[in-house]
Amino acid sequence: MHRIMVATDGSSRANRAVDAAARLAKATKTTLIILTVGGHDISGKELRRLALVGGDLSKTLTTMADQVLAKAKNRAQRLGVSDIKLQTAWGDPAETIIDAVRRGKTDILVVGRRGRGQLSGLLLGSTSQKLSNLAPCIVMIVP
Amino acid sequence: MRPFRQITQILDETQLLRRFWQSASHFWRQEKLKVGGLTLFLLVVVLLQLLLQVALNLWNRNFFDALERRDAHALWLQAQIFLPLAAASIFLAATSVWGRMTAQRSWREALTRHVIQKWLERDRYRRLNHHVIKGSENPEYRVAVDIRIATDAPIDLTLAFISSILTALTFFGVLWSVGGSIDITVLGQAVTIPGYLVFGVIIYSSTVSALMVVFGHHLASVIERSNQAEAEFRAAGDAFRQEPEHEAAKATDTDRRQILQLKLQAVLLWWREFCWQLVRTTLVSHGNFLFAPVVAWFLCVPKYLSGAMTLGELTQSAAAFVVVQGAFNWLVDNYQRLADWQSSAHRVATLLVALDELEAKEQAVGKPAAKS
Repeated sequence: MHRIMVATDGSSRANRAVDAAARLAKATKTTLIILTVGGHDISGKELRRLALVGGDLSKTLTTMADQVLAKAKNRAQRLGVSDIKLQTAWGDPAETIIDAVRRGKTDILVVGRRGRGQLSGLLLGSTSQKLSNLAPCIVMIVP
Repeated sequence: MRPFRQITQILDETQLLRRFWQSASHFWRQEKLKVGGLTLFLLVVVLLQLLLQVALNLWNRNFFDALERRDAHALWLQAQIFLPLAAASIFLAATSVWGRMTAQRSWREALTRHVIQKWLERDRYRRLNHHVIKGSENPEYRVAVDIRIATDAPIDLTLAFISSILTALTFFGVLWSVGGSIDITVLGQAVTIPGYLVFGVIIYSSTVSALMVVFGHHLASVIERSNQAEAEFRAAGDAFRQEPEHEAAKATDTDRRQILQLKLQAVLLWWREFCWQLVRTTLVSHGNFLFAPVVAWFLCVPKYLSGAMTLGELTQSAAAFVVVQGAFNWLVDNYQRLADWQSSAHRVATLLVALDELEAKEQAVGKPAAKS
């Protein structure tokens, strides 16, 4: 086993997935790839604020994604993982994660059972459900 | 090398609009005979339309009065009068479309030719990509689409504004004279309110406008950002298509896809917010659509029931109320169009500013000044 990937959106459930992936990476001495699919958790209030001040949304999304990754990296480092790679992607979460798994030749994918999109998850099926069905590797779903 | 600067960091909104008008006004200043004639024609059409609206309003009263009297002869006469009135109204509406679109086409042509000349002269279109000012990306879209929007909307909006003011003033007269005064009792005291329908329409329209401002005050800025995000998305795609081969080899498909996905995400997020803003403003606009005629009827009903107003006067006053209220709503009705215009005018202005800078550089290095 060479690579473990964990997908996070910065939610508390995703944090539990990061912790689990970090412990696994430490135990197996493998590289931990932390991936976030950005742009899905910005509020209408924040958008209206940006509209008023003429802010750059692309830059804001990138900054938000960087913050999510930085926090996840800190968690993983605190649990003793040193070989960490960070990755940001944009688009449909399930499709984007599967694409990243394929490209990164990932052995195990770790995800939380539900992230921020709880209502849309109930209506459309959660990202973790899609990943467990479609990902080309072992998928570990953290409750 | 100087760092890239955003045009919006150099010029504020007013300066950008001033720069837009500096080039856009060429058409209005240079072709005075053609433009003057067209403007006069459009104003005459607006006045004739207003005249017809008043005639139709009077017809409305006479028709319902005849109906109340069960006077078959008068009803037949009104039916005969209606046909020429309707024909004239239809003819004027079609004429107005021709006049407006002719003015818009001529203005668009003049401004587009002006910008194309500035853009192509001395290979500026090539140098624009490497220019020190950012914010002028995708010039071909600005020339083709933004100029069209920036020259279409002002003509429609100005004519609608003039028409609204004239309509409001004219039908104030109708409301004042036909509606007359009403006697009400306040704390045991009899109070007479002269021209009460005028006050009614002012209070009602002010309330609707205030509600629209409360519910939709973010709409203009959201539309502007949404348009900008769409433009950046297009520009990102164009940039890949146009990148030189040695640079193209450095970027992978994944890099390109991620950049486009990010831009798409921004477009979709702004679109989501735009959707919510429209949902909010629709609550007010559709509510107004339903309530305005009913409020008018309810304001007139006490006088009708007391016998002080005929059925014809009631329908005439209610129709006048709705017309004045519609005129008052000029800003509400055109909020989205104004925001679209502002966004396009900004985008044309930023291109012009970037071209001005290139022109200034040419002059600084001793090349002959380009025509503006």
